[in-house]
Amino acid sequence: MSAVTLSGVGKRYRKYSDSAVLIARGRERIRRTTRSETWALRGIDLEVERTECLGVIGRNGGGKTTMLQLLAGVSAPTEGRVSVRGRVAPLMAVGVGFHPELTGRENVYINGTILGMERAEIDKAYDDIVAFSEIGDFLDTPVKFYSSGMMVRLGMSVAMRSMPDILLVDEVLAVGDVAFQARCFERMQEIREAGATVIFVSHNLNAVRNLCDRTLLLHQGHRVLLGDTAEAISRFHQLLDEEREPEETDEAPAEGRRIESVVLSDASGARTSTFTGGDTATATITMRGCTTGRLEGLELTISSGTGLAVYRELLAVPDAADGRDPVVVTVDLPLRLPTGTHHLAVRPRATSGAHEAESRSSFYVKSRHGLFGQVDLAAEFSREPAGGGR
Amino acid sequence: MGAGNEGFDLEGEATPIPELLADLWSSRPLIGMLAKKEFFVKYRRASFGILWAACLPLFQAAVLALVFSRVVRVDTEAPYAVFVFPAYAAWSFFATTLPGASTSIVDNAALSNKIYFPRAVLPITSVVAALYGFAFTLVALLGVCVAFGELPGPRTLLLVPAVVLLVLLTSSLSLLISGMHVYFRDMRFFLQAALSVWLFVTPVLYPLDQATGALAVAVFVNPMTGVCGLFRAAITGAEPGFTGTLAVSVVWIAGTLVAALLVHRRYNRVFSDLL
Repeated sequence: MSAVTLSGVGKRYRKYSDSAVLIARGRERIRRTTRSETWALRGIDLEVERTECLGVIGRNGGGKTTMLQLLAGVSAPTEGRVSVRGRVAPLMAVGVGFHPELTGRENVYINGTILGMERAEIDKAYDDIVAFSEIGDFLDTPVKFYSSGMMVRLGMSVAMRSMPDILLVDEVLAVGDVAFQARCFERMQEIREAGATVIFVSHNLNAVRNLCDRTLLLHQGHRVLLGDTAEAISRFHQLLDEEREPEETDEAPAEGRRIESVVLSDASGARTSTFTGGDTATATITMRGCTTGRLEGLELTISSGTGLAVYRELLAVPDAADGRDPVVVTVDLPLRLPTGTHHLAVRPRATSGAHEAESRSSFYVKSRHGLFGQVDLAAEFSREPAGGGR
Repeated sequence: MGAGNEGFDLEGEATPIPELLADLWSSRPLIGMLAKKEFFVKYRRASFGILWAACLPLFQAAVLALVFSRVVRVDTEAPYAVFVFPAYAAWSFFATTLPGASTSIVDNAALSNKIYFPRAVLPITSVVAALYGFAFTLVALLGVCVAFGELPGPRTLLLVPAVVLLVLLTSSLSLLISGMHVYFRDMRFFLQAALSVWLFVTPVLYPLDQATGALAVAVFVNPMTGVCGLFRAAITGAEPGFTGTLAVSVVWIAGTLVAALLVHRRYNRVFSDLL
């Protein structure tokens, strides 16, 4: 039997901006409107098996949080059916119920109980929890004196040890230092191998790619795609780019130039946002500008998923005689980049120094195994024939 | 806790009553743990600690006893302090627990937005936490009675049903109001206003038979009349007309429990949508 089954699930929220619920509802009843109703999730069918790791991605407001809430059982669906088999540990609830006045030790017991552990169970797991959290000497100190990292570590350690059948994980893993994160991922794998299901909701697409067998892409509460993780991530980038395309206007902006679109395509000319490391991507940039000021060039920036600029260059682009006509520029970019999500930003630079809006698009590079860092220098290894030493 | 350890099925917003009750029953360790935390955290940083739990109601009762016996002059058979204290102890538990328990679901939004347990756990926890302090108050109560020459007898055992009734009334009202408070945040202020009147329509400071006219009607339909009367009966003996008020209290408790159950059945899983 599947660990998690959703069939035709929808969740409708009513948003009452600021006013009292009673007054807002009364007002609606009188005006016969349902203006404040929004579907956060609609028509979701999903089955997750044991030991599977499912990624959930999508933009903010796509319904990811709502889905986690339904799976944790803290909210109920407006329509459809949610079925969960086994103990759920919502890792987004890390440190829930921690009381600042109580010591680390006391909070471990309270937190464990909230997560559904029995006292004997906590006794047994206690040493392990303490070791994993690396809190050590601070266990008998009220947690209000803890750093935020310590709080998260302690909370995470309890949750990881609560022997869940289904682990719900959101961005909490982004907190805490890198070493602790790595241990959390390791522990998650162990929990999975022991037969648990992991549902991982994240904006960190690299982590989703590394961890998840299948990925669900949500957009505005609907299921866009459920399937192979790489495919879902690629579709997600496409979705982001589609949304970013500016609306058509007859008039050019009063001043400066505007990038109308940036389209990425591969060697065969097909539009895509997923590339293989080392391949050349072609960016077709359409720009429209007005007559004031002279164009100095286009500034291209490629940055890694963490926001670090890997490459930036000002390309001299001949200015069009009449700025009203669109200018199309194609740029070939050899993608010597490691695996991960990258961003391409294009910004027109005018001699006047006026600030121009940049256009950003994202793409995903799948590079060869064992390549880390920010850039692929394509180093070549060769080996001298033996004989020099002896 | 056990709630959801085997999993759950959600279809529609309401929680079926058997499921609700089963979840609540298996949440006993959680209630115990949270209540202990709530009680000890309250007194942890105070130098006199738990002593406050016993002494504060005692002090308040002493002030009222002084004012009402010397200034207003209420005549009672037993010494006025012994007459006032048992009923006041019950009243004080009720009036200090109810406001906190009634806002407990909203106040613990951080907890209940992330993890599921029946929301009824929260108001019940508040009542249980208050019981720890009430144990000290009861010891002080018996001490005062002995000091005034009212030695404990067989009727002192009436304190057991009295405490049960008090806890049931406070819990059922807390359950109902805490659920309503999520939707109508006016409830807490309404409750504050109500409690200030409520004390005076409860025969705590005056004997039951001194209420006349409209006051007598208000006193009779008041669920706290029977509960306070039972506490008084355990110490100084039952007052005339007491049995009727006890029946009214029981009816109130039953009615409130049913209403609370219906509110929690409907909204248990969706309180968090509005928190």
